[in-house]
Amino acid sequence: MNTGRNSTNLDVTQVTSDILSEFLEVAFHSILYTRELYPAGIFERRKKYNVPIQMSTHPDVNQYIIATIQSLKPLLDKHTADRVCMTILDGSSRPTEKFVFEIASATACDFSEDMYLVRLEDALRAFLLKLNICDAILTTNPQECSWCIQVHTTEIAYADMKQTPKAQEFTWVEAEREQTYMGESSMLPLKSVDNAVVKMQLYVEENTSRKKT
Amino acid sequence: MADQIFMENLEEYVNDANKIVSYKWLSRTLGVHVNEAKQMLHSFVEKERNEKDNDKISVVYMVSGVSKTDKVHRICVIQEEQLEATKAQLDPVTSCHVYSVQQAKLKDSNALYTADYDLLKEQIFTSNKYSAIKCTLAKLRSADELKISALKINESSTEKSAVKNNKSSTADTKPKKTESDVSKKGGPGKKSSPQGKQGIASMFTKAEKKSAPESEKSVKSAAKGKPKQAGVMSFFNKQSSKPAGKATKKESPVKSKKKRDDDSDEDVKKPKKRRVIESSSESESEEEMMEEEPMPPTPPREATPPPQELTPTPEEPESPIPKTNAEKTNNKNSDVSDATQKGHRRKRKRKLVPKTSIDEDGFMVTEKVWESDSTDASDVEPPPPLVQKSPNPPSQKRSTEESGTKKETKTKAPAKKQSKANTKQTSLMNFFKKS
Repeated sequence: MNTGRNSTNLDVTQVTSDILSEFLEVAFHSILYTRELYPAGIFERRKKYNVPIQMSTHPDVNQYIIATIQSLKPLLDKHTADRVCMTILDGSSRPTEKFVFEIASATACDFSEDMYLVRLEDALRAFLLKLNICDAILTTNPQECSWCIQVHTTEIAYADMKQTPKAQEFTWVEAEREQTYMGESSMLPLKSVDNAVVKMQLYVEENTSRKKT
Repeated sequence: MADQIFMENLEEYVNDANKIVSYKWLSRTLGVHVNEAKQMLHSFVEKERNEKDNDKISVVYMVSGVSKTDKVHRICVIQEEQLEATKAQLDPVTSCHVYSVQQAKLKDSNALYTADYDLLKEQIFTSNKYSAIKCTLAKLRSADELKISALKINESSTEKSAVKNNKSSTADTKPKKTESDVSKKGGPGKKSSPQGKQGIASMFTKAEKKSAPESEKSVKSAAKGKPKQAGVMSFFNKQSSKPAGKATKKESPVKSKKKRDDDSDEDVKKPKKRRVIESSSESESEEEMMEEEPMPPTPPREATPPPQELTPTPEEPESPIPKTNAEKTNNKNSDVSDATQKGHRRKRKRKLVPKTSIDEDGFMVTEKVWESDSTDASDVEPPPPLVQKSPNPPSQKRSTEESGTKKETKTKAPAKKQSKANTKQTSLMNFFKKS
């Protein structure tokens, strides 16, 4: 049994990044829905982790999200994506809020503690629930909004990533300072999970200056 | 007085923890009747709005009644704003109460379900404990009753197998054909394991691969037991083997004996080579069973010590905790242990266990973690019961095996689902199989 599990270690990182990218996709969709970045009409109800979620049905939006996540995968595979942020920009392209998924490499990379990933699924479900009700602690977004996905990674990982064919189809560019720097902001922790497979926390950075106005 | 405390709790849940508090969730959490929970939510909303001027909370109502337009009885879960409009459409309104209270303005009902999900799964067998709707005739069968019903099934199955054996001795002139059958049957089972190799599913392939030879073996033995019979008979055979596999401890020796009888019958007729392979695989799989048997329901950290050593987690308090859990469950179940050993029913428990660890930066981090536990752990850990048990695991294994093969060949359910069924709902599965 033990040897068998050890030999799967290579698989485990693969599986973990699969799980993470799956989760990120679902999370992005539900952020888009709860933060009302798109009209509710383009969303439909699906089931994931045994609970209902809202997924966009707009082909372009979906395509964009899928392409982004696929090109992210090399980073997730190597645990070099420190943070994945979904940044919501106001009319003048300044970030008003950031949903930050901070991903660390898991303590022990094996499934022995959670063979059937029941607890992991619990945790991911809890993330989604928190995203669903984060409205209550956030101020409403301004009318004209756009969004983008930003990744914090290392220089070398970025260079590596550029080599892969997938990334060449879908190029990442360095973020402009205006789109990352938020000035006065507050941090609202939403949820964290730390188990043998995934170590991740989710918080929202919110521009506090918009609260005053 | 109690009300006062409950109200404080409620305020904490809604205002501080930012939870969605539905009446179901509340009644399960506080252990009160649903109607009481509804009243509490109602008075909470009144209090928050009138006395504290807290207009931030939003309320979801549940209204039921006969629709005016199509004369159908409707039950609606609706936002507060739609309350009057919905009521106007119903005549008469049969019920109207608060469904949930939360800070966030809900955009749809998804979150309502998600919020209740975990708690419902935790109390799956007592989910109607606080409900206003009761059916006195519906009762959960006790371990003894289950045992008796299993015995009955087993008796009938042994009778049938006796008939079957007689027949097989006459009809056993074509073992080769059965072999080819076996290979055919084994085929799909094997195939399915490499198939489910994506995402979460892929991690289960290992487990599946492991079980694949065994399942094959079980198919083999089953096929051997009934070399090509009339359709009806083979149908019975399958049925008989199923309940037998799940049969309780007491019967397991009988069952395995029966199987062995079958084998020895076969051995006489079969070429030697085959027999050797058969027996070796049998013993091998039995060993594997011993290892694997405690796996499905328990976090393996407790079940198998080796992984614990492999992953040297720095947390000291952790290691005593599972033990104490096991002890506790031992003590608790000392009177029930008889039943549990025989019936081998699993109870799942989740406990909030504080875990302390030192992170990379050298900070001490304490966090509370849900540990799921099953009483099986207690069966496995102390050596004496394990020795007693050693005859049992085969039968137990067989049951899981059989269910495995069944699924693999029949439905080819995604690995994820299958394993989930194995972990969470072993007892449920047992329940269904028995009927």
